[in-house]
Amino acid sequence: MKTCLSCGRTIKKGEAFAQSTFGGKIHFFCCPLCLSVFKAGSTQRRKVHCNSELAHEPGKGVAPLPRTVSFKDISLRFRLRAVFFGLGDFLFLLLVSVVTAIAMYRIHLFHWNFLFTVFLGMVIAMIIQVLLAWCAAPLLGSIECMIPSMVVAMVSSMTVCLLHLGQYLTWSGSLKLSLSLGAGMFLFVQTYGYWYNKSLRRINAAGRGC
Amino acid sequence: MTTIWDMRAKLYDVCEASDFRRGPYKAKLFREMNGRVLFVGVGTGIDIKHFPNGREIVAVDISHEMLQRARQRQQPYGGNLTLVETDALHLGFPDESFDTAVTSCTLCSVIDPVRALQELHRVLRPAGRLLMFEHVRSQHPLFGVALDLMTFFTRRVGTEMNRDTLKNALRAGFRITRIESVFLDIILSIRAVKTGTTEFSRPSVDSR
Repeated sequence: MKTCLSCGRTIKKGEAFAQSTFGGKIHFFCCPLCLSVFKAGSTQRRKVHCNSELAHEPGKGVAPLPRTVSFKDISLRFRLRAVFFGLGDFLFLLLVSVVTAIAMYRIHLFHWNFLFTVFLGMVIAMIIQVLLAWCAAPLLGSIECMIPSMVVAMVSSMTVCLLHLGQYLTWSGSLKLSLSLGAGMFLFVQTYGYWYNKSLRRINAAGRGC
Repeated sequence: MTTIWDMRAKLYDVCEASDFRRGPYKAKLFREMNGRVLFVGVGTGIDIKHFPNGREIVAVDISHEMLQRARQRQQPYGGNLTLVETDALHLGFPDESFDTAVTSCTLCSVIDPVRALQELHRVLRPAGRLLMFEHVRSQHPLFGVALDLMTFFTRRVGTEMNRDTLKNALRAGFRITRIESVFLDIILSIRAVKTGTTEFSRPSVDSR
């Protein structure tokens, strides 16, 4: 008869989760928990009996602790955080928009072939956007930075590029344009977020789920 | 066998440094952990500080290197936390042995998300709860395309940004009970409950 090396539980034929050979003997483990506890060494092995018993008996849980922080406090904290991150997102989108637009503007000053300029400008704009997003990610979040800024970097640099076809843009013109595009993107993100939250509230309140 | 996650372990905390913004949302979701809890994809243990005290949690990950780092964060936890090295697609736990299953940015990284969710469905007791903190593909065409574009690059390091996790959960036999937005319709806190049947009885092939 096989027994689990960690918890001592009897293992029926074909039910062993893993086996390990050491000291010239084959040892068996009944579940990944027991295997992991064995691998982890003595620190965890002290708890082995308790853990392994619980592993095979569903529903023996620990009751949740009483709530000590009120929802009102949490809600206020969440709102303050939303304002802080909203401001951060706004400034970040302005920065990305301005930097990518100026980069495209500077490349246009070389008067190279238009298609080459567009290609090079877009590549540089994307590299700048990714680097800026990586720098801001620890504070503002990786996806939260990356997605809107990717869109604004594309739109901002392409708009500068397209305007160069019809008229010669000045440095200050590019700056104003990029600032307004960055602000516009921020408003768009906020509006979309508001609309999505509203639709979620409706679904959740109705209790329908999916 | 060294996985891509073993190689990423050293830089994982730097790359995933979004905890400052997302942390409170995770803590809010994790407060709903109840009974015996299975946490899938614990990684380097960056989420452990958001676990509510006094819970009995089994946290699993496929990467040995990641778990080695998670062990340093395991010690201060005020509850019963056990780290286990196993694959989300083949958990190896008995049927119906957990009350709550939790994922945090995990289903973007498993090879077959529907299969992983079916495994969670199997190990959850009847009417057990699934809590997911996940990023999904946006329904907005502009952001959706941006996420598709990002996936082209991130897929090489094991992460897909454009998965339809809500649909995958439904296919695996869960009923979504509540969704909260963390960032637009891209990062979501999802609550689901185990229902009787799954749509598929065997691992799916096409599961984006």
